[in-house]
Amino acid sequence: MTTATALGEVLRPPLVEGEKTYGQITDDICAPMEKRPPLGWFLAFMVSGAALLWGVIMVTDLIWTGVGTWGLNKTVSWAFDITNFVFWVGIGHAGTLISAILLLFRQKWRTAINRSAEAMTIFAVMCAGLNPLIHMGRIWRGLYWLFPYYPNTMGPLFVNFRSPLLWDVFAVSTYLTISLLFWYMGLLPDLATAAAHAKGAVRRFIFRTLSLGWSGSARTWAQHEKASLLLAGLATPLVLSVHTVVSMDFACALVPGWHSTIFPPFFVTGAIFSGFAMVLTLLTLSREFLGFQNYITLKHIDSMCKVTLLTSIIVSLAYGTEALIGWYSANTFERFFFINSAVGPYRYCYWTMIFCNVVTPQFLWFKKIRRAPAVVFVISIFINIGMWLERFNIIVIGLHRDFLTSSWTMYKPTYVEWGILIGLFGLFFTCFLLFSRALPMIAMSEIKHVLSSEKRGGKQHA
Amino acid sequence: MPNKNLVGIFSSDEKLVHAAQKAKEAGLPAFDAYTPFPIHGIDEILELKPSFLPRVCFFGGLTGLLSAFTLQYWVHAVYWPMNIGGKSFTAYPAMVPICFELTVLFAGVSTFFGLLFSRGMHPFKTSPFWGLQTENDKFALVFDLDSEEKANKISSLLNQEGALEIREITA
Repeated sequence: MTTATALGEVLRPPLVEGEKTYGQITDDICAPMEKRPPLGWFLAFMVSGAALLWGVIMVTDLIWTGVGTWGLNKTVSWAFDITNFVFWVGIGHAGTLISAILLLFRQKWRTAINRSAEAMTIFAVMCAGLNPLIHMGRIWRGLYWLFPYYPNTMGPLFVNFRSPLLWDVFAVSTYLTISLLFWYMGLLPDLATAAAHAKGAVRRFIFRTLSLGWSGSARTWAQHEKASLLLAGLATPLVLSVHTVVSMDFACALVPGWHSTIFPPFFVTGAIFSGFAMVLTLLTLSREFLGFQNYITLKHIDSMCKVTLLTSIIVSLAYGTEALIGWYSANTFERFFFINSAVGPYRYCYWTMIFCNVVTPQFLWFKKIRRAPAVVFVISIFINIGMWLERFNIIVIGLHRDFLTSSWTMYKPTYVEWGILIGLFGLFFTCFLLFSRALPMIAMSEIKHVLSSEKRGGKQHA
Repeated sequence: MPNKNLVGIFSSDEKLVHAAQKAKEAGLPAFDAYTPFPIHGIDEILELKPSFLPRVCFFGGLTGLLSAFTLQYWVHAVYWPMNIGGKSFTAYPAMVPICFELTVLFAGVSTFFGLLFSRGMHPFKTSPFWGLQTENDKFALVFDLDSEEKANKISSLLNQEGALEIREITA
């Protein structure tokens, strides 16, 4: 232990750049909440708000008219909705990975990004959950169809507990609940800090109330740390289970290209891959526009790029395995699924996916690129597109030409489906933009903790 | 019953830990510490009891597991048995995912509310130690005060340890 450091003495820890004291950290991180947002924020808010509004109109159209407004047909009965569902659930996975799994592995670099990544998880799971709901058409009957409900006035029938779709209901709602609790629990100390830092009485009251009377006593901290560890321990297997269950929606069916034992690990890795890409998209932007370059440093971006690269390689291996098994299984339908993907009518989607998910991430081998936020941003957009297409390919290419040649057909999305897709992005970014103004985007207490432990000779506590 | 406290405010966690250690050695153990982030090692100095949350979490999880199993078993085997592909009414493997999810759900929710309950936290609570900037960059060491003589001893010790400020607060 070095000698005690007086208040105001400068600290030079590697994970936080610039010369910061504890008080400055509070000032810096509370700043975007307290001052007028920059013009860029207003522009971004207008664009995402407009997208959200368009989505609301399209969903209203859908519910008013019925699922017939979509381009689905008897053969392709699932398309954009389930693609969106799987895509958004996947995006959420990176947040839990960063907040829970990296906490258990004691990776200190997570502290600067865990709050925003967890927020991203919550918004993404909200977007995901919306898709199956609106796909039901008669959304007001959802309660009977989704949850065991007693007495069941729709007849003495219950939901089918043997269906992967019902497992989804439980997996996704548990995931949303646990993510919310974990996020809120981490926010408690920072809400108290924000209340103490706030100028106006109303702001102070709101933050004070939300912090549930957080006092920062050693007794509270001890319980809080224990509870965080327990929730992290619970969230870790949970996040792996969620996309496993999602993959079973497909793997338990008999459709060629779906009926595959590789799906659970393939989906989980894909989820982490797409999620990290989305975290990179959001953080490269917000560090630039909210002035968090000293907290979300190039080292953070570098580390996240490495995770993205690793998961890209695993996903590529899975694509290779699918092609290999298509040939090696000697199963006509499996083989046809692969050939139809690569040279069939949806080949452009397939090769775009390969380009986005296999080729573009290879640039991340170079340290110079990993440390150039603008380039990383572009790569992350490619991966987002690629991972959305991956789910589209699995679902639509699997369905549109299966066993019965007479029912082969094509699927084309309508403007309603495109509108809902745009609306979901609108919802996601609107929520994230509001979050970046309303709540401390970086976990202040954890950053201070990291500073303190680094000052004492880099002992890992975070 | 109002409880008188003497509070020493420090500028860093190291000073606070050092002062708490010294106070303990002098036979004047501190009661609590209020800090902007968790301080490791303070638990032993303050002799805090180990948390009961792991047990709350375990029993919450157990409740979730049993309810998930009972619900599925009751629906599929007792209340409305349905022949699906000639499979057993009590096909356990198919129950695993929901059993797992509800175990996690109950364990997590009970841990969260266990935390709130254990510290008596609720939206309208205000801490008597609010306003010391311990949410920002100050570190407060709190002593129970029962006699004037003790107060003087603690004050001089806190001064020696470099406290920025010493206050008396009635909680």
